[in-house]
Amino acid sequence: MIKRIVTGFLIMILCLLGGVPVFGQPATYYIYDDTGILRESEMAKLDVLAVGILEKYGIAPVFILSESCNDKETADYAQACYEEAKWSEDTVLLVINEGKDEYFFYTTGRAEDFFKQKDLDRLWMVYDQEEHDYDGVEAYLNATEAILGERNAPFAAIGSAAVKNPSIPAERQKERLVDEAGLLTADEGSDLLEKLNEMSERQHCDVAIVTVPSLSGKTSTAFADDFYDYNGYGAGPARDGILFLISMEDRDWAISTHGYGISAFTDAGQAYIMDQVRPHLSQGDFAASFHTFADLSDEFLTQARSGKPYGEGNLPKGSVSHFWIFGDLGIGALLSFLTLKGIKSSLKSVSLRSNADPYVHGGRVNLTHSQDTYLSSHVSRTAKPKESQSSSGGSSTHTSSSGSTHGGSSGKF
Amino acid sequence: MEKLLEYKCPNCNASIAFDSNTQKMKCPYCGTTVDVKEWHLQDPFHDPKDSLERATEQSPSWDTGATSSWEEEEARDMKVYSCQSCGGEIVGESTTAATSCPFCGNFVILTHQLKGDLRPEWVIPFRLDKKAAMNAWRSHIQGKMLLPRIFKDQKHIDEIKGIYVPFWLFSGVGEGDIRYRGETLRMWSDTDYDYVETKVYKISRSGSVDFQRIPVDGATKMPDDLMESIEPFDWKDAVDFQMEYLSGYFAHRYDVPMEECMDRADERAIQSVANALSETVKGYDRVTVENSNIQLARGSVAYALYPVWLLNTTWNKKQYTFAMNGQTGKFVGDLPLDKGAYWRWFVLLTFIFGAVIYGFMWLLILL
Repeated sequence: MIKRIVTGFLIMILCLLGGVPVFGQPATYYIYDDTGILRESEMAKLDVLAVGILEKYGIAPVFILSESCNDKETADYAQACYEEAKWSEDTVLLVINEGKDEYFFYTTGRAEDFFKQKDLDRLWMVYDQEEHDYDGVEAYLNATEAILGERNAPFAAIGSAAVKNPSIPAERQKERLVDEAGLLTADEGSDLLEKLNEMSERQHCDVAIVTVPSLSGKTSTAFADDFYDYNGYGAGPARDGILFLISMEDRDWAISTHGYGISAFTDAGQAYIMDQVRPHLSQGDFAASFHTFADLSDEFLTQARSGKPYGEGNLPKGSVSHFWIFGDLGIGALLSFLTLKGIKSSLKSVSLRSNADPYVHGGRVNLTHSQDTYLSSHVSRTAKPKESQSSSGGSSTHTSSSGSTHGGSSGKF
Repeated sequence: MEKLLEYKCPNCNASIAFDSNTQKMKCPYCGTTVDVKEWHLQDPFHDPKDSLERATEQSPSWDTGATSSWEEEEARDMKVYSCQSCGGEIVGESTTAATSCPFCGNFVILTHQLKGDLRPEWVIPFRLDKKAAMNAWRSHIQGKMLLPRIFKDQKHIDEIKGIYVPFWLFSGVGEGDIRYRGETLRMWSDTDYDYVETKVYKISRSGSVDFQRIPVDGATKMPDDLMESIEPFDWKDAVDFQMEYLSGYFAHRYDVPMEECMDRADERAIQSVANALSETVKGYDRVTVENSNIQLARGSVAYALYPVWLLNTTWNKKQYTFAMNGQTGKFVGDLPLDKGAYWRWFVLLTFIFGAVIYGFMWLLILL
């Protein structure tokens, strides 16, 4: 009897755990293994291979080897993983359920067109043939590339910026914090850089801050876009990222977003961030403004990953500022005074009467003359404040000099 | 020696007094009751010439019927009388008309204060007795927050007296002409503008208001605001004045001449006329008075005694006076404020309100 209860209890816990997503391995992006068969170094090498394919063809090949798929159906697990990570609009994903000895292919976007059933069978075959898992995954990836090559898969569609532009370097050329205008002290700078690096790695999205003394004649938007592109900012194949630029010459600021950054930082979201940051900028407190920017960017990226990026009608809930503690006490004092005034007045019952109404015979006046004459009328009007033009709620984009699509906004401080 | 009047029970010869519960003369010892009117007929002191009739006439000045005259001895402030029952000395003021002997407690009436020109025309006899007054006092202090606890617990009354207070009653007609400016507002909006249309009107009203017996207290010692606060008295209980009603109570005759009281009556009457006319102006969003002209046509004035229960208590070196309308039972009197309690509640409520609003703000933010 007790055994049954214990077993039942354990099963319940396991079912609950079934809801827990699997991701906790930040090291590689496209290759996952929770069985421990593949070594870290092996996974890293395979990851590079996968990235290469994505950059070349715009399709992300992903491989997941799972012990039990969290006790879900392999197909459901594959879908859940994709929704969680969203490697690319076009992804081919192979999930292997070690425990159940099952496998499942999940394709999205253009990958659906390129990988027909016979192609998927072929992919499985090459994996299965190999003795060691590492060789199997390598073969799987090579086969993916081969198939795509055969299909002459054209390069990136809208959104994912796998555009091959020779002047855009693949590796990032500069640090995530570039303080050419010298607005921060050495300590502030290193603190900030540490924060930016940590968050960018964690979020798989570059968050960069650049300060310059002058824009050299360019517009702040163009400067920011170009700085981003020609210095190789951006994480992942889509070069996801956001760059915040400050130019001291004319006190301009600009934000440039790319890849995933465009969807994560909507126009309304950027406006919100700047509302929080601008007061610090105006006061010249740059360290505070940059930290605020970084923290908010982190928050925004996390929120975006959940599927609902901050935007029009969906902004971060602020908090009640501490000033209101005093303000509310003041209001409380006022209310308290009024309440007690009422109670105090109940103690008083003696006063002179203002009129002789109780002694009016008949209780009302005998009206002998009553006349209402219309004299004039006039109309006054006040203009209603016009609502500012708002976009449909998402992110507006433009094309930069390098030809890539950027989102962003700019202004003065 | 002025004539002191004491009423004796026809049955047992004890001091008989007016009983408010039965509205008759009642002997507290043998319980015999005699109707006041009956008593008056068999009273050897009854003087038929004392019953005077007053007619109401419209005239430019208040009609008093006669001028009041002062006897020489009455010019002095204090008078000494001798109690007929015990021989004790009763010290009365120049206005005392009825009082009690401090030694034997017998009630005496100083008839000279109520004769001739000083004789009241009407009296509203007491309807409520001392017990009722004490009960009313207890309910008055009950349930009052911020009343000092000790005051409540003490329940100590220094003095409680049933007094007939002299009043001048003014009747007349007030006429008013008032001009107003009225505005009506109409508001609407379209996509670009908010509009307000204002229409201006010239309004005039004229009318008359009949006043009957506006009371103004004619005793200097009686605080006017206290007396006005226990208004109104109901005229339906008023009877022709007879001295018998006073036995068992205290009484004063007036010492403020009618002309001085007139101003107060005028003030109240004018305000009533203005209110009455303004009430007829309806349907406007905004009304302002441009011109107001109110005249009072003097009618008649009468002199009457109204019943009032007066209570005195001392607390914290201050004297507090309370009054109850001896006919309707309306009880008034300002009570002291417990400053300590006030400030304690102030601080407590400030924090409570502040916390509630703060919590509300957070709730709004989070939703």
